[in-house]
Amino acid sequence: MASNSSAAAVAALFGIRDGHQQDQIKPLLAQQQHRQPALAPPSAVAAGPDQAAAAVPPVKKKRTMQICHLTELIADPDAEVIALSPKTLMATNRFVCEVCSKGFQREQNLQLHRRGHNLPWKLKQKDPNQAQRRRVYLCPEPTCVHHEPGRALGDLTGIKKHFCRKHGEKKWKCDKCAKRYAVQSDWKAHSKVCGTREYRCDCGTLFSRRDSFITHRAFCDALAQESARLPPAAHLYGATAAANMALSLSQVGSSFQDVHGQYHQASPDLLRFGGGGGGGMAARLDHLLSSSSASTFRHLPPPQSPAPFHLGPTQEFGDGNNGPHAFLQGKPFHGLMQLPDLQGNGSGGTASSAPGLFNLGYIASSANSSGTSSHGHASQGHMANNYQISEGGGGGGGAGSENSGAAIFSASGGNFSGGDHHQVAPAGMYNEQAMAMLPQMSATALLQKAAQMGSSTSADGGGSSSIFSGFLGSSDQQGRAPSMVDQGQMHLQSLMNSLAGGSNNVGGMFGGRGMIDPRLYDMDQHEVKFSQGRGGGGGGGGGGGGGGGGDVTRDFLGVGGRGDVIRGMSVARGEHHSGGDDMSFLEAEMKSASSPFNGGRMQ
Amino acid sequence: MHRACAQDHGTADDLAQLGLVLYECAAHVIEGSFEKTNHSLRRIRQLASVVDGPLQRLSMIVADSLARRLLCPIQGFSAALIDPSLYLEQCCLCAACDNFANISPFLSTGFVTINRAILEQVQDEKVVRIIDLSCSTTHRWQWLKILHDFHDRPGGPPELRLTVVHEDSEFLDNMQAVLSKQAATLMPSFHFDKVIGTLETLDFSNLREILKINFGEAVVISCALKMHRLLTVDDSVSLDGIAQLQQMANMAQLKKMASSMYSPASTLSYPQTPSPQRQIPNLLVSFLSAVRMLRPKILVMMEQEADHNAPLFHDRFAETIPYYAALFDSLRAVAATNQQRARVERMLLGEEIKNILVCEGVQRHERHERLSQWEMHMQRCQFDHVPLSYEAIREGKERLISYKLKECRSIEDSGRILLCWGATRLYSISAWRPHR
Repeated sequence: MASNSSAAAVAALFGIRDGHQQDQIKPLLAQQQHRQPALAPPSAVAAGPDQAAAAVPPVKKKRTMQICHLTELIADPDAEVIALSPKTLMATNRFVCEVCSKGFQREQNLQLHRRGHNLPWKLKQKDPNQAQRRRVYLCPEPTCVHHEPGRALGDLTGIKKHFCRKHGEKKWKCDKCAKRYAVQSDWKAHSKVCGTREYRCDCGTLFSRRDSFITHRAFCDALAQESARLPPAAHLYGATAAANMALSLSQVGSSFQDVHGQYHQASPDLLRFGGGGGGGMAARLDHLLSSSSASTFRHLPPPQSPAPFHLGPTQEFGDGNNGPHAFLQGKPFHGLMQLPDLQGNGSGGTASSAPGLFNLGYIASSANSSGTSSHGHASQGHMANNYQISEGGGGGGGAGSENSGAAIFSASGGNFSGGDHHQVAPAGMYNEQAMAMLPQMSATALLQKAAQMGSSTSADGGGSSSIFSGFLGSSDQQGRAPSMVDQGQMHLQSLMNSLAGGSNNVGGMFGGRGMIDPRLYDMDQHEVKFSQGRGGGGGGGGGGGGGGGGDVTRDFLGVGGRGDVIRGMSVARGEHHSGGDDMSFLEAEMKSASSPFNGGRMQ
Repeated sequence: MHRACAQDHGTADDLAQLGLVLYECAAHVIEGSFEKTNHSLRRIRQLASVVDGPLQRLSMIVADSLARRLLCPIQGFSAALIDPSLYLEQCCLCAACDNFANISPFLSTGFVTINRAILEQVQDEKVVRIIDLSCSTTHRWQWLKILHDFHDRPGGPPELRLTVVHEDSEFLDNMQAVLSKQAATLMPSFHFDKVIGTLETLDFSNLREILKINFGEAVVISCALKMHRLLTVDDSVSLDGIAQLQQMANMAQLKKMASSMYSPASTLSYPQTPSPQRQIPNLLVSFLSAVRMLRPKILVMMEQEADHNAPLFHDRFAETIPYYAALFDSLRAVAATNQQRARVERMLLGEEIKNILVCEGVQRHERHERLSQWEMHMQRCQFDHVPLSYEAIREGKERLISYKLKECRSIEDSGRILLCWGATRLYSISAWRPHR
């Protein structure tokens, strides 16, 4: 039920947000349906852009039924259908005495009151001969489902409350949690239980009901994911950039569990860049990532995939078997190693006066010295990181097969960065997009940037760090989630978006592009397979054992090529396993879920 | 290819520079330095001409205005320069207005809200007179919709009479034909009255006759985006001295503003109280007292939510840039052809910007003011604020949401609505009634 509703929510959400994405979402959902036909109703896919209001239809409806005890008229042709205007419906004193203008809710009461004025009065008698026709009431709101006579509600109080709740102003506010209610009795009922049970989402919202909490999580996650994908121009700045990054992190983090440790160290910093909006995500990611220990990857067997790529420098230390592995490990580093630089004092490289982005480009395309300096920075910033690096150095040595990203970095930075982006996007398309995206930058955003530039011309890198983060985030996403190739277009757009926000120096990042040969593309294919296999393994491990990273590793090669984007979920599940007994039910359901959102939402 | 790429990013960076250069240029214009302004203008031109984006298009218009502004003090030049808006053909202007109403999410939201507010006020009336003072902003869609709404009214449609004030008689004929045809199927009695003219040129001493109002009619007034024209006063003379004195202070302030202009805090806490020198213009006073005589059930107005009526140029400039940047962004986001958008931007918004930045005194009629200032005007003219009903607000909100633009937001504040694009407030809708 829960995952079912969340699937619907996702579908609806995507539908609402952007019509274009429908196509790309559909296959995803279709897959899901295929796997769990009983759980995903067809309506989930059908939820189109117009069904904005029905974003969470299944859950909501159920709730209405539970709480309101509304007796819906199924089919009673004899019933008298009454349509009241909102005014009459909401009127508290409909029957007014003409003498003293006192109002009454019922006519009978008015009649009794008239007796006091010595006015003629008459109480209505029920006609005993004629059986009273059943009365049903319509909701006056034309867009409401209860506006149709076929779905009229059976009692007046019910329709009053329904109208208040669904279409009225929420006048009653809980002092403790700032929740608002339209009906006083709802508010009273809530006040009694408020604070006794609560579920807190990472975004800070409190829930007293578990099902609404789960629904919200579905929304919250999908929203973050969604905003990461959408290519609005405002995307470049602030919260969305952070969410974007967070998304890429979650994907990366989950698909490359071996580098989780490193990731974990770096991710909080990464996320701090984006500002407030990413805060919630950051916390969640923390959770997500913390459960996979750094030790996990050391026990990993080397993947058995050939590496037919000919990146000049990389080939020197990456032999056939270790190649892709090293590549994969190196890549997150490529992103991460630079971030502390940018964030720190913006002088990780040699050019201390240049903005941080320049450093980035510089490091990426230049030789040992800058690579080392970035290494140094990383270790300054994060002790744990440093530790890992040295560990990796010990294990992998010069081969760089483990996590000595810095080495890879310094040796082949330029090529790498180029390759990263190139894999998904052919150069031509890239350029076109660049041209197309530029005018898409919003004037407001540009002005904002101008203001930033104006206020922080001296502080190097300070003004534009959010731009980098966006850039790095999406490039990570690009390079490292190749299994989501069907969505590559979208990622590309967000990448371009963030690129457009960057400065000249981003160009430096792409400097290596010319050096890429078609063989790189081959390598990419392998990478896809590789990560898919691993993803399935992760999912299976988490689902079966529900335990920690050890399980994940053991089952690694056992299950292959199933989930494409689920990987993080196993971790999440593992962590939340101890949360409660009923959780395991959810987990069991999720075992087969493949949508990237499901797992995160279920936590 | 590599080069091209690098250039693109250079452009993106340069575009951000554009904002700074605009402010810089304005500072030079205030200073009156031809040489520096020339340099800045060339830079703007160079930055703005590379690719076509909202900020670039805005910059072109602003640059044009700044150049004209610089020539303003030299009376020979300013007299010799032809104001292109005078040469615009009425039909083109009408087309632009029509496009604007069609593509702007805010305008149609305003119409919906105004309609609902009107409908609620005349719920039980049998004879209703609607007066549309929106002039060129008016759109037949608004009144077509109200015909349908009246038709669906529980008590049956009233006898509806509509007075529309507009400059163009052809437009009015056209509108009459459309509305009458539609009304024939929807209501028993519909009457369309045409008034050729503009809001500010109406004879307020005889408003009842001019607007063809009969006794016994329930009068409601709708005025979208035109009320600010009544704020026009001849303030050019009095300002010269002040402007001279404050010139130096302005420049420093402007430069400061350029650096801090867009932090959210400054957007929110921008001083909203009008400077003490500003008084209620006579035109508005006489209009409102004339309206009071009509005893309207309600006067619903939509206005630009910006302080474009500051006496000093630099204040206006600092208000104009973010406001129109947001507006241009909103136009880009909606589904519109380039031609439509260009027409709106050049003929409507562009002319507004030029008017705000270049003109002074009676020439300056785009005197947009914030709702807080309007409140003060209305209260001094003894009009009471009528909170928009929940229904009206909701209907407007739904309309806005139906555009599915994330940036389109509305803020409700005690029965008034502010329509926003992102963090920038663009329009306000409020309702008023003469104090009894």
